[in-house]
Amino acid sequence: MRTIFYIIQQSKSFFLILLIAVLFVPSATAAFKYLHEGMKLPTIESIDIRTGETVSSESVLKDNNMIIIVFWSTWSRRSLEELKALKEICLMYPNDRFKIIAVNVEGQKISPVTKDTILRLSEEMELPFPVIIDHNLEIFYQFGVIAVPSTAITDTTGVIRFGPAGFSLTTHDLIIDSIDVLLGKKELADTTMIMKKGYIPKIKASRYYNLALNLNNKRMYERALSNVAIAVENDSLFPVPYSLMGEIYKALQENEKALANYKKAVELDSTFVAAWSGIGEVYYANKQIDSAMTATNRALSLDEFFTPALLNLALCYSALGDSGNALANLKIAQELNQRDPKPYFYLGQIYLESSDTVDALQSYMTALEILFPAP
Amino acid sequence: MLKKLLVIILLFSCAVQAQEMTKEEKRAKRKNVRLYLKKSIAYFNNHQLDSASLYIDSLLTLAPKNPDAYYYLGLIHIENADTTLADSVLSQGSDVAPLSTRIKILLSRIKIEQKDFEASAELLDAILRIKPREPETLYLRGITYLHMNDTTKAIEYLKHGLERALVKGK
Repeated sequence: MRTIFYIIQQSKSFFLILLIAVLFVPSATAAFKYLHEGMKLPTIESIDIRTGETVSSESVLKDNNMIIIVFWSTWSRRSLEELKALKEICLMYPNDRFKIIAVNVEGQKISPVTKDTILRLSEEMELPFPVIIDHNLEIFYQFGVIAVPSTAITDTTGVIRFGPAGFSLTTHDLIIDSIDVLLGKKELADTTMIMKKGYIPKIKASRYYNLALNLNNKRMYERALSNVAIAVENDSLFPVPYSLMGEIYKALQENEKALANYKKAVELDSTFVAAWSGIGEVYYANKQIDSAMTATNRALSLDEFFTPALLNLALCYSALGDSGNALANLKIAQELNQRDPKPYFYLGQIYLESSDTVDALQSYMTALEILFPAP
Repeated sequence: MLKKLLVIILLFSCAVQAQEMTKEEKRAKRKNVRLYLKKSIAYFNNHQLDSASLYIDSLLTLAPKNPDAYYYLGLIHIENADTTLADSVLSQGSDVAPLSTRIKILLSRIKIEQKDFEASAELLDAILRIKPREPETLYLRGITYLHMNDTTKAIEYLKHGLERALVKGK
């Protein structure tokens, strides 16, 4: 009898711990639309703005180091917090096999004044790692960055193992834990994180996927589709191409095909944030608001900072006449990426619907100033 | 008779040779125009405005109606905070290359800065007659409406411009 009672007590504790773990243990989040844990980091090569030296991810990996890529900008307060934290982390691991590359994603065009600001800030902060500028946001679009800051952490073979969006105290601890785990200093079980191994795609599939991605970014949709189809042919278990196909079909307004592909992606990986968000967007386009909210909330439960999902949720709330929640979600999206014109566009719509022309005008103008800066 | 024939043949071959030389010259000229433009853009992006300006001047001697030359010269003057000179150069550019959208857009921005909203509106309306969905034009036209106290039109144009820009994936 006592044994049974003891077992019940232990079970209760176990379930309590499990409940806490499920509710509070942070999972690997999805900072990037087009990259996933398990995929290889695209090659990054540029010039350090302070030293003029070439910075190359390939060279870092050749020296058997893991890489931490942080996308940041001077207009993002959290970026600056993360840079400071990474500087401290560098000091905690002076001789260890990891390198940080800070990629500035200030905007599409960098004026000499902006370049000076980036340089001055990097020097003032005395950052002990290279800082490169992502001219024309090429790397930004290649990764599909959805929030600033965003971080990608690879192992020593260049495979992405962890990718948080945004920066909070939790992120700081998760970065330290991921370094310890990937350097073999700690067991994953001894940390509070869940590090997804991710699906490691076949090389040919990965190659055709990257080709399709570039074509998609140039809006050459038909050719992108041909290439992504080859990626799928070569590796039908690789979830990311299905999500890309979903995105392409959505752009072509073939919503049924878009939905089918996004669903295939989540079938292969139920934690695929971008695909859940895509499902939400297609349902919204089909005016199936309830289904849209379900899928979008699923995405946000996996990654609370996934901006496209925040925007879609705002649209859903707006469609239901709940401008309060719509505005709240848009403001979060704005905070995560102040250079994204979309939140301002949707804000403008909401203000217009409530006859607030002054705020509508301001929102539209802000968005357009971002898109078409004065020379 | 034979002499006449020989003269005709000689004249004909000279004409053909002259045409060949002209073709070669034209090819070389086009190549130089491209090179000067490329160099001037590279210097401009590197904020070496004097060097950029020199190449634009060389370009204009070869191709006095080249719209890109006027556009970049306008940008150089704007960078040098000389909007009067920018206005002059871009107005000239707009005259020699009336179909150049970006010259008109840049010139309309200067007109807005100079508070000459009517002149800006005229330039922008000229673009919109040919390209009614050009996003930056719609945006700037919205700005002119705002300054001319037509808020309704301003919102309409700003919203439309933004929609077009987002659809184009800017």
